[in-house]
Amino acid sequence: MEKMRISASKYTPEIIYDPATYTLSIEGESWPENAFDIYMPLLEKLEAYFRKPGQSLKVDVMLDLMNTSSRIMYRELINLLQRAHDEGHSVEMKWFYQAGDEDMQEDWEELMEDCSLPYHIVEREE
Amino acid sequence: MTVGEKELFWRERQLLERSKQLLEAQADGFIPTAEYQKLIDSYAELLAELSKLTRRSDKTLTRLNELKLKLKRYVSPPIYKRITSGQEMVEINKTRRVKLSIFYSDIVGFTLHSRDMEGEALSTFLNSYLEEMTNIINKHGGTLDKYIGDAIMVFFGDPDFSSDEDHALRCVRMALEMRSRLKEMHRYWFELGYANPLHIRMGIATGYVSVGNFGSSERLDYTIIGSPVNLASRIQDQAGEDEILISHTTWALVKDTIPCSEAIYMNLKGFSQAEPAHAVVAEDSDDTLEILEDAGYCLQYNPAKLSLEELIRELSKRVQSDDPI
Repeated sequence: MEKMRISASKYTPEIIYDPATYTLSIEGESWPENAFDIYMPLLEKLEAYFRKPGQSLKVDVMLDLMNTSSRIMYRELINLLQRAHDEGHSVEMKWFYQAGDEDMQEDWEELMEDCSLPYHIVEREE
Repeated sequence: MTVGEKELFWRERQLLERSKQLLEAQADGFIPTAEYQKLIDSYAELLAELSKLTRRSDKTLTRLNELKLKLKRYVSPPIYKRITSGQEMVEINKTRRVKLSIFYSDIVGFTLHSRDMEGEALSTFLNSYLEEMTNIINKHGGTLDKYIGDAIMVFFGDPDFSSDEDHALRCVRMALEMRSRLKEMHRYWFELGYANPLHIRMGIATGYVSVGNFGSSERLDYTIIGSPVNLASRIQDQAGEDEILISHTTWALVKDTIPCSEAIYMNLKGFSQAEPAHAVVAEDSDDTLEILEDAGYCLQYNPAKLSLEELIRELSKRVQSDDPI
């Protein structure tokens, strides 16, 4: 499966998905007008990836800002990863927030509520 | 709903579709309980998500309002209004040429005052002065450009434009009110233990300047540049204690309403020719007269009614005739 790399823009984060190294990394700010267009191609790739049994994926998300549309898409990403975990794939998530950014910390905590897949919410120093 | 929103809420649309199908199935007499349960679970999930989003949205709005309140304290009300209403493009190189009336003031001998005061007392003293002056600026609709220590820079005519006459008049009236308020404040400061009364110098000039965002893409300052800005500052340097000096262009705009002295020619730094300036007397010239006291004499002199030359002529006449002054 091909590597996916989307460069960061003023409104969107950098997205690097590499099945060869079992990693997905998202970093930057996310406040596009239509978050669906940004994240749906990634979700489709992940759906396809987890169709094979016994897959594993480490996900690192470092966002400084996220609008409500993006939050809805992250909800989708979490649901997808939770399903993958429930099906026996190895999934691990790390959510990073800037030191002191309680809003973002709270966002991640809320999103991960009721999730049983392994995750960490990590405060990132400058 | 836009195409993007339709896509974003595809889960909700699926749920709606499932509900419709269920209703149709029920009409056929078939009631799939498990399907109902799934539907209820999905609605419960949606409700939980909606409640989180509402909380998030309310919190963002509260935060936004807090930021707006803070911003309001850092920029002038007219600029704040333009920024928050989206009228002002917060971009560099967005400047325009406009005719403004520009005001400068500073406290006479502030360095000396500050040397005699402790840091905390100094900031209380300075802030009480700036607070009062800023209230007057806002009352007259001036755009507070900046505080430079004890100095204040204000302009009239941008972002809100009325007419050149109105800008100049409001600017001079603001200066007059500042002067009278300062006299009232002497009492207040005296009570606080500041024995030496505070005096200010004020200068006003009118002319075309470039107004807009100056600085770098990282840090912008909404300000003005141009020769009239320097003129206002230089004229202010020449003003005496509590004196308001205005440029000749400003004078031409206010002279029919506000009494001023004859032209005083000044050699100012950065200006090749002597610049004419006028001292503002007061709006109601019959009520306020300059009072000079020396060696037991009390002289009341109104520059609006008598030029300096005429005053000297009158004084000489009276001295020669042995007439009491």
